[in-house]
Amino acid sequence: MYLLLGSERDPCCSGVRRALHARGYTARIVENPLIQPARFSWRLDSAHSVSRLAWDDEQAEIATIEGVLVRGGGWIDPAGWRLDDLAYVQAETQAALLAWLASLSCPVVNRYQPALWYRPQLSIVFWRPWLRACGLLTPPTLVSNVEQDTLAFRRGLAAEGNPGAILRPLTSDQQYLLARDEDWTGVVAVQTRTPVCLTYPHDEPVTVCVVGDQFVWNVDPPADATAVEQALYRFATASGLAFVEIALARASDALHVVAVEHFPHFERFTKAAQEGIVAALVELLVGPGARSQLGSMAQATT
Amino acid sequence: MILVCGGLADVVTELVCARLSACEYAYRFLDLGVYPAGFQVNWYCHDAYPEGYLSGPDWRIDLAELTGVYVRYLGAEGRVPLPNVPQESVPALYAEYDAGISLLLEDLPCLVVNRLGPGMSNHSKPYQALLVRECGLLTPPTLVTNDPDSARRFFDEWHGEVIYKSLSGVRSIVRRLGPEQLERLPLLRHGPAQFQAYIPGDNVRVHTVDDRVFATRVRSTAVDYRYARREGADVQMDAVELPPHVAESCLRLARQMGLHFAGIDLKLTPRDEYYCFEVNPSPGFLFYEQHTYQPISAALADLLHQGELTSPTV
Repeated sequence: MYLLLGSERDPCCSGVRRALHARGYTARIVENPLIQPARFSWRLDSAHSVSRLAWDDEQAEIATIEGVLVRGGGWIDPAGWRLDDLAYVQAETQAALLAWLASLSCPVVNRYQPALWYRPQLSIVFWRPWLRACGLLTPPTLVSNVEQDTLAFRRGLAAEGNPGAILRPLTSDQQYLLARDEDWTGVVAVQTRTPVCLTYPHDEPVTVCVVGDQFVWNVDPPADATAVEQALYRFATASGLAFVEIALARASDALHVVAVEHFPHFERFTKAAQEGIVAALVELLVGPGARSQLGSMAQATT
Repeated sequence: MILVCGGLADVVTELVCARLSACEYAYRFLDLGVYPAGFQVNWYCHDAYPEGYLSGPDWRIDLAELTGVYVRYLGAEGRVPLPNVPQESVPALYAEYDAGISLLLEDLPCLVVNRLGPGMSNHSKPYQALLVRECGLLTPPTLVTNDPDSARRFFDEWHGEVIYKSLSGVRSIVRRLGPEQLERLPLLRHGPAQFQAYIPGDNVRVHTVDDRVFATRVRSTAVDYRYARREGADVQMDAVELPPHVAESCLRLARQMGLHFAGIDLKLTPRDEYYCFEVNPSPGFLFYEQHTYQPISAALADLLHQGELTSPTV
């Protein structure tokens, strides 16, 4: 059986389930395998790792789980919980799920490392070391709470013919175009509270999903975008992501990575691209190279 | 130049600063309790390491001058309240402050003790157990479950010698599973818990500082010696030498996790076996140094002074 960790409302989960069923496989979408109605049990010691997952209506021992698609972090419905209890049980569930996924010997897409698992939304600044190591550019970025340096950054942008800058808080995916004088006045005011992150403006991005060694572009990519595919593959491999969404855009006449989503936003892709992603995911889960591509940390899992 | 990021009220950060001063190693202190108030931060990055500077009330350092950074992040309780900020906005601002610092440190080419990313395994004890196994240390028989029947079977299998503790980084007191807890097992259906076979013996706290190992044997009758006094139990601490293979495993574990400085919790059983429970990426080592006089802070100061060019890892 294939386990699809996510919501019934997630079109990626339902698409993969449909595709797996069509190929004769059993698949089940589960929002959280560590709370009722699931019965989860995992024994771990120095030499063994054995887990069992069962529901009232069936029992699937882990030996029969052939692959896992991870689309969510095992969230818990807050209804009925006190806030502090909810935070605790959520942290416990996430901790258990991260480790259990790492222990499985079957293909897991994605088998997240903790630094990614616990930060579902990450600024492009976070990804810079990895991207740089793979030969991928990111837009020039300034983080500053110094007014005069910020205004010098603005002057530099203007001298290069840029219409303004993008204000991107480091902890949210919101961004604001700074084009007018009053926008910059606002930035200086914000800087009295916190350093701000400013980047170069860029053209409309194109997005691509790297799924294993497949590239699914949302729209026809520009000619030079395909030239970076090998670098994108190296990045996905280095970050341990078999399924990752990357946005590329032109800034200062070069193609830059402007966003990385390690929990890809499947719903943002066109119908044709979604079909391509589902096909690539299914191939990744059931294909002949699935196990070798998606190794686990388990030394001895039975 | 060394940069220390932490809180003035944090005794561990205070000890690091005191040791750097005693060693006459120049350092600058970025007080995360008030940051960014009173500090200037300005860094730019494009296709290389970040460039820029940090400045405080009476100092300024170019990022290129840094040889080593020591950082201990603070919770909300360690910070000076923000004036004139609506209470509901405070957590978001703190998160933005920490993100700015951690993203900078993550990408600096100098030694950073420790970068945030590698230490995040500390949020999942069973994940750390998987790493521990790879490094040749023993991990206790463990059950993670939301199934009351499985928990009961595990309890019976170990003849009632079972403890329970948190799975996550949420600090919890290790306690024995007793009749009172057994009655509450049906609540497990709402979320998983971690149970472990009770491992008898003495706790051994190991601090690794780059390639140096400092081990402290802790003798206590308390199940969790950190809370021994609360239980009316005594604690005796002594510096000890680890068998070479155990010391090497500890170093390998810290290296594999990308930690230049780590606190590793072991237990030495009456059969001379070493079990490993968890790895702390930001250890509060003051307690151990005070009791054993091991030069942990001096080793850390030397490491920060020597520095090294490291490839940032995430």
